[in-house]
Amino acid sequence: MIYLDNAATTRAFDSAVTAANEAMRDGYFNPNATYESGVKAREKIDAARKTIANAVGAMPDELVFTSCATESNNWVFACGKKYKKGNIVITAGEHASVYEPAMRLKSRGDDVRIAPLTENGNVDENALLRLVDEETALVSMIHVSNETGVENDIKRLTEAIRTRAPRACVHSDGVQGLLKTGRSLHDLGVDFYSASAHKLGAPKGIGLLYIRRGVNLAPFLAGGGQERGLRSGTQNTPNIAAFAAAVDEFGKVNDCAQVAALRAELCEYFGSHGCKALGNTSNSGYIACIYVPDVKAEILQNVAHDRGVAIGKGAACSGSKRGNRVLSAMGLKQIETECCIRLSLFADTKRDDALEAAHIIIDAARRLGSKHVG
Amino acid sequence: MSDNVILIRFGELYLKGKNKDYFENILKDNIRNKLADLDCKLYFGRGRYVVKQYPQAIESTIVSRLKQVFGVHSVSVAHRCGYEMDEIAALAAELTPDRGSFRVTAHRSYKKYPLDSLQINMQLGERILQAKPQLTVDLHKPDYTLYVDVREDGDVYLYDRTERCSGGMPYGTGGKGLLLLSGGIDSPVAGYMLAKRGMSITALHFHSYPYTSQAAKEKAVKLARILGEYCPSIKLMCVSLTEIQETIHKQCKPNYMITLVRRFMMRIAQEVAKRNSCGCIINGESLGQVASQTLESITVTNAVVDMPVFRPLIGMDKDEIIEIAQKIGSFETSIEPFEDCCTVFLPEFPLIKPTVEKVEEQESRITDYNELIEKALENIELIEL
Repeated sequence: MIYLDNAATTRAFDSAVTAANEAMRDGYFNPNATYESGVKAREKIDAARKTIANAVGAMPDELVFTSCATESNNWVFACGKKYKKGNIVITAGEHASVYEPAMRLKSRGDDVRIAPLTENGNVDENALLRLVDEETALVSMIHVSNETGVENDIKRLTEAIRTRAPRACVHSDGVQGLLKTGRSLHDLGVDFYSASAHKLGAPKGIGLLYIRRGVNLAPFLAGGGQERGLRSGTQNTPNIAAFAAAVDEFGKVNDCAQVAALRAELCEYFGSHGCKALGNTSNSGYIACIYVPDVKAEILQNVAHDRGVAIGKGAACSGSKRGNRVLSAMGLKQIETECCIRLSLFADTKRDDALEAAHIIIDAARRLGSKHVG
Repeated sequence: MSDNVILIRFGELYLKGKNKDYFENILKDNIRNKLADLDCKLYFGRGRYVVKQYPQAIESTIVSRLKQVFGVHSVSVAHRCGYEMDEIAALAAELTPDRGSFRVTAHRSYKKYPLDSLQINMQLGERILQAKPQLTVDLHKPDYTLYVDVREDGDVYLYDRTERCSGGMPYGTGGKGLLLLSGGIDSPVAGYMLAKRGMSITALHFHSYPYTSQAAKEKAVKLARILGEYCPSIKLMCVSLTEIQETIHKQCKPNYMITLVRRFMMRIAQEVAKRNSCGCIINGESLGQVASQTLESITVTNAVVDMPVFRPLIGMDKDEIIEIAQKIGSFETSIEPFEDCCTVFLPEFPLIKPTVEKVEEQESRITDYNELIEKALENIELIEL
C-alpha cells in the first residue's frame, strides 16, 4: 500500500509506539499521585512537554495537552472571546472544527465575519484586514490549509491585526502546519495555536493548544485541576510520551525542502496529464490538491485503493458530506469540487512510491472515462 | 434477583384454530432465542407467557427485546404474590400512589379462586382505601389503574402498565421472501412490514463499487443488522451491478438507464430468490415517489418476473414510512449520505412513462444480456451479519 493520505492521519513512528507502550506497561501510574512512581510519571510529561516546546519554538508552560486539535479549537471558541460585544473574524478556509464552533457562536447572536479566499486558496489579506476593527475580539486563521496545503502568512497578518485590533486574540489552527513550515510559534506571534499529534507520526487522541505567555484563557474542561488547572482530566501519559517521541523522530527524518520538491514534481506530472494542481503559490509542500477532470474523487479514490494507493478526497472529516466548503470558497464549481483528490505527503514518503501512485491514479482516471486526462 | 415478572401476551394467534400449536411453538422458539443470552427463566402457560427470575438490572433489556419479537402483542412488568388476600392487599396498597383516584381491575383465569373478579375489585379497593384513606375511587377516569391477574398454580400478578409490542405473526410462519435492500429509508421498512406478518427475510443488496463507496455497502450491512433484531438469522447477499451499468451506459439511451437497470435487478432478484427458496420478492416502492416508481415504470420492471412482488409501502406517504423507520431504528442509518447504486450514471431526465416495447427495443441492443446476469450471479457475495 502506497499511503498518500498523510493529512488525514499518519502511521505512528516505531519510536512513538515504543514510548506509548512503555508508558502503559511500566509508567502507568497516575501522574497526579504524590508517591514516587506518580511523580516520575509526571516528570515524563514535563520532559515530553519540554521536547515538544523546543521543537515548535515555544516555552513548555505555553503548551497544554488536549485530546485533539478539535478540542483545542473548540476551547478557543468557547473561552477565547473575552468581551461580549466584540466580533469574531475567521477565514473561509477553516477546518470544520473552527468553522462549526464559529457558526455556533453566530447562531447565538455573535457577529462572526468570514474573510474570503483567493483563487490560490490563501485568505484574501486585504479583505480580512477590512473585516477586523477595534471591536474585534477573536481572529482565527488556519495556518496551512488541510484541503490545499496553502500556507497563510500568519506572522504578517497577526502584526497587521494587532495594529487594527489591539484587544483581539489571534488564533491559528496549525494541524497541518506544526513543524511543517519551518516557523516557530513565537515567531508567528499568535496567542493560540492548535495542533494534533497524529499528523506527525504519533497516535490519535493527543493534541495541544499553545497559549502565549501572558494570555489568559479560561479552562474548557473543569474538575481535577490537571495541566495547571487549564485542562482537567487525567493526562494521557502514553500518548504524551508518544507525541514527544514522534516530534523527536520527525525532526530527524523530515526535510521540508525535499517534501516540497516532491510535491512540485507530482503536480507537474499531473499537470502534464490534463489535471490541475490547486494552491501552488506559498504551499507548505505536504499537500497537493489535484483537480482530475470528469472523474468523481470518490470513485477514483475507490479504484486507487483497490490498486494499492490510498489518497484523500477533500478532507476526510467531511467525507460523508456533499460538496466542499473550502474549495467552493476558492471559486470552484460544485462539480469541480467533487473531482478534487488530495495527495498528502509525509517526512518518510518515498519519491518512487509517490510517482508510481501518480501513475496509477492517472491510469485509473483514464479508465474511468475521463476525456481530458491524457 | 427481582421479584418482578414480565407477562407476555400474544395477539392474533387466538384466531387460529387447530394450527394454533404450530404458530405458538414458533413464537415460543423465537422468544427463547431472543432471550437466550440473558439470565432469566421462561414459563409458557396457556394463553400467556411469563419471564421470571432475572436480575433487576436487565428488566428493561428484556422488555425491549420482547418488543422486537413479532407475534408478541404486549408485555407488562408485574409484581407477584400468592393467593392470600392479606398478601395481595398489602402489595396493592404499596403499589397504589399516595394521591389521586384509582380503580382495581381484576381478571381471574383461575376459576376456582373463591372470589370472582368483581368481588376481588371491591375487596381490594376497600383494603387500599383503608391503607390510604386520602385516595378516592373513580371507575371511569381514574388517575391510576391497578390490574390484578389471578392465575393457576398460586400466582397473582399486580401491574399498572401494559406496553404495546410489535404485534403481527411469529417470524417464520409466513413463508420466505427476498428483500431488495438498497440503503435508503424505504426498503428496511418494507422488509419489516412483511417480517411482521411472519415472513422470513433474505436481503439482497445491489452495489456499483467502485462507483459507489464501500461505506454505502457497509450501510446496507448495518441496515440488515438492524432488521436482524426483528428477523432472526437474516441473510444478506450483495451483487455488483458495475459491469451491467457500464454496459447500459455504453450501449443504450441515457434516459433508459434506471428502467433498464431495474429490469436487470428484478431478473437477478428472481434468480437469487429461486436459489434461496424464497417465494416472493419484496421491495420498498411507493407509488409515484420517484420516476422509477410510477405505474408505467413498475409495469415495465415487473414484466420480467413471474413470482409475486410484494410492495408493502405502495400506498404510503414518505412521512408515514419515516415514522416506521424511526420506530424500528433504521432511519438514522438510512439517511447517512452515501450514494447507493441508483444515483450513479443518473440521467438528467429519467423516463417517467416507459413502455414495454420501447424498453425491450433498448434492451435488445445489449447483446450479452444473459451472460451479464450470469456473471453477476456468479460473483454474488454472502455477508456475515
